[in-house]
Amino acid sequence: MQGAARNLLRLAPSALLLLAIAGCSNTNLGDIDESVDSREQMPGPGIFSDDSGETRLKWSSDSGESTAPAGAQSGTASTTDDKAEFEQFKAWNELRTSGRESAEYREFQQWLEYRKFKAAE
Amino acid sequence: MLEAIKSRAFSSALAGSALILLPCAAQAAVEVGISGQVNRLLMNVDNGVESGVVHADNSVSGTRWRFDGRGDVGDGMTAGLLYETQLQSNPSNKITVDSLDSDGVGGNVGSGDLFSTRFSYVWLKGNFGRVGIGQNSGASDGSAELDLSGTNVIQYSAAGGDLLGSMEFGSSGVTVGEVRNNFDGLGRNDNLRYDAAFDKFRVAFSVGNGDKVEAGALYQLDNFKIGLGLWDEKDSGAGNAGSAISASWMSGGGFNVTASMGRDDRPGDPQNVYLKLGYKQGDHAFGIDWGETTDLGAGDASSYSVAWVGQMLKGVELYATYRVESLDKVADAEDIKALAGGARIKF
Repeated sequence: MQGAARNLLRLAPSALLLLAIAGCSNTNLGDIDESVDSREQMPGPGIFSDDSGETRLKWSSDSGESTAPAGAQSGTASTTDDKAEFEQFKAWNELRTSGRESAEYREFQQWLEYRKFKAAE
Repeated sequence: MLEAIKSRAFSSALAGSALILLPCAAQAAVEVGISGQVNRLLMNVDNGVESGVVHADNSVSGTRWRFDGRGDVGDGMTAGLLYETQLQSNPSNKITVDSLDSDGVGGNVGSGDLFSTRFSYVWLKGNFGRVGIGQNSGASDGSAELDLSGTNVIQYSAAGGDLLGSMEFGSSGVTVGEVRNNFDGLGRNDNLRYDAAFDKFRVAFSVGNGDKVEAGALYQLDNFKIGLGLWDEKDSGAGNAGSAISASWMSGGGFNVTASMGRDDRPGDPQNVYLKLGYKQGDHAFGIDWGETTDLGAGDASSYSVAWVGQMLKGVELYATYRVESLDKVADAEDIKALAGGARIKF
């Protein structure tokens, strides 16, 4: 236990330095890219799940109600819609990985900038 | 079409890899996601003495399911949890020569089943970074395994051990798992972990049982990643300390390169080097790789493989590979040759 405490103390200066730098530069250190390695989780939607790759349940503190996606509730998600969505996902993924020099990709980046600008307004 | 892609990309970005609360919602909300995968393969193995076909669960990315939840807890902070369990029947890394002419690992159906908890931790995230406690990846986990190739469901720096770890080289008495290691940090363990991000740069520190300490750093762009890991087991395990570095880059045309190096300070100062060249286009990814572990166990071991992965259907990944594992400096050691094909289905 004493060893663990010593190790924590050794890490403390590094952590404090990071926090100090972040504080001075107004950086949000929690803005972490949480994407998961493709070996841990297959990219894209699952056979039952949406684009997030998960079947989601959501609780709202106001209503106290829980909800599930329409597809999950009915158990009969539209195959046609899913196929179209998957095709769109593949096209987006292809554009993201292989089309970085294309005019479409540059326009996409501009569009993301526009979304940031709108969000900041 | 572009508008649709933008819409999809935007919603995907919001969703991230798991779940993110609607940021504009005035009310607090909690979301829990349920997901998982089944990953099965059929493998023909020839170890130079015996050969046969086995059904196995692909231990490169085993059959598993998870709960992933998160919610706004006020003051700009988010709290969450991740619980993930692996449930494998005939794990590929447990397949032995005896499995080639029996009902599988252990000789009987079900006797080789493996149930294990992979993740069980809670976390809190805010402007200060993210702090987590529980069974989680250590800060150095993954430092030898960065890979953008799209083939890592069947081919990556530790695939030899995951697919053939318990297979013997001929009649040498030495198995793949005893002489191959990619030195990828301390894996998953019970720890207290801190993460912080500076734009594209991320650092992590963790402290675990037995006073083990780990540190990791990652720099990532959409088409490039490089990571470094350092660790010291202290009073846990064998007390080894080590380091690893890996990087992966994908060109605009789909060609990609992945490389990894790792070592630790156990007797002999073993080390591992790994290189993969790949090509990814549309739904298909191809790779050819080579790796070598030296001074670990009885002799120096190396491998090469070719692989294909296709994701033509929603939630379904098909793959095939041919792999050769070799061992030098050991009497009666024969090459192990494996031809495998399988599917990973996500739900």
